[in-house]
Amino acid sequence: MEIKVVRDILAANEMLARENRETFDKHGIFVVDLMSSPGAGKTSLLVRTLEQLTPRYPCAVVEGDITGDVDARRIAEVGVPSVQINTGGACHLDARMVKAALSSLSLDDIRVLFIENVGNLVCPANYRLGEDIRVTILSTPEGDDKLTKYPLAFRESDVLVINKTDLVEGIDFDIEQARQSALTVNAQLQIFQTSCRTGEGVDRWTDWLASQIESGRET
Amino acid sequence: MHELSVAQSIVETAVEEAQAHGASRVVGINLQLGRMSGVQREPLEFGFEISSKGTAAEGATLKITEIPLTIRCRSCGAESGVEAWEFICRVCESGDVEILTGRELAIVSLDVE
Repeated sequence: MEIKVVRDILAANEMLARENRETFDKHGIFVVDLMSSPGAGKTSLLVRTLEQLTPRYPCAVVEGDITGDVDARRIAEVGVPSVQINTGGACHLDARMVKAALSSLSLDDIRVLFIENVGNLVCPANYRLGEDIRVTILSTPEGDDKLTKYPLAFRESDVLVINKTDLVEGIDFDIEQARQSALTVNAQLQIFQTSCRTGEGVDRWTDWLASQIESGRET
Repeated sequence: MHELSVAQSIVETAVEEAQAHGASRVVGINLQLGRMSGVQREPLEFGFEISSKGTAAEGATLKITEIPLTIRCRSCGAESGVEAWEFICRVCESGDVEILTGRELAIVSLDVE
């Protein structure tokens, strides 16, 4: 017997992401999902961003890693509350994990929540968490071809941060080429260039982010 | 690589639907898999074989229909088939486009008994 059914396999996650969204709206929290491959500089950009934003907005962080709490400890050094999610092998955060982590945070005291996804340029793109904006970081040593090799993450993002621009001299990374490739994948992408080591370009990114927080939602 | 957890969801969904229709066994699952679903066919098939073991879907055939990536231009309205890294209207070259097909990851029908 054949039964006709149309069941989206990711529908359960989408539903939980909408529930998270409602929770964030209720508490007036602006949420940023940070994605990148391992080592692109998610935590470094986060630390730099928190240094700029915490005087203006109460921030908190959800850290996603397969194991350990190295990143959460780096965040604690900046004096920002954080919750560590260990996915225990899973390659991405999903809305259910974020929902569970929220119970450890004092939501009434948070204006901006950063969710640092598991370092992976493929899987996290498929799982909405209830965020306002999605930011994907690409570091220059990874190569400018990553934009066309892993287009889903960039297509599904609102922002591209090209990080480690201080290293660009020594390697064959063409920033103009990267910007062109990025806009071909997603013409709506906001693109920023930063060096978390020198701090160059971080202001432009945090100023833009602050304007998004003020206007409430994504562009 | 999240194909294993996706495969587990497919098995759970199929078994749930079969039971809801009073069937005891799933013999076939027809799945639409978009070119840009973020899921690869081979690891998904392998994951399905593993995660269906010991369930009512054990031994079921996973029939996968791959769906190409197509876009619609918000500027000129044209629809075009594109590669995953080229979200540009083939007619007017605008980048203001929406995805029509290619993100599917869905069970469309089941063979049960």
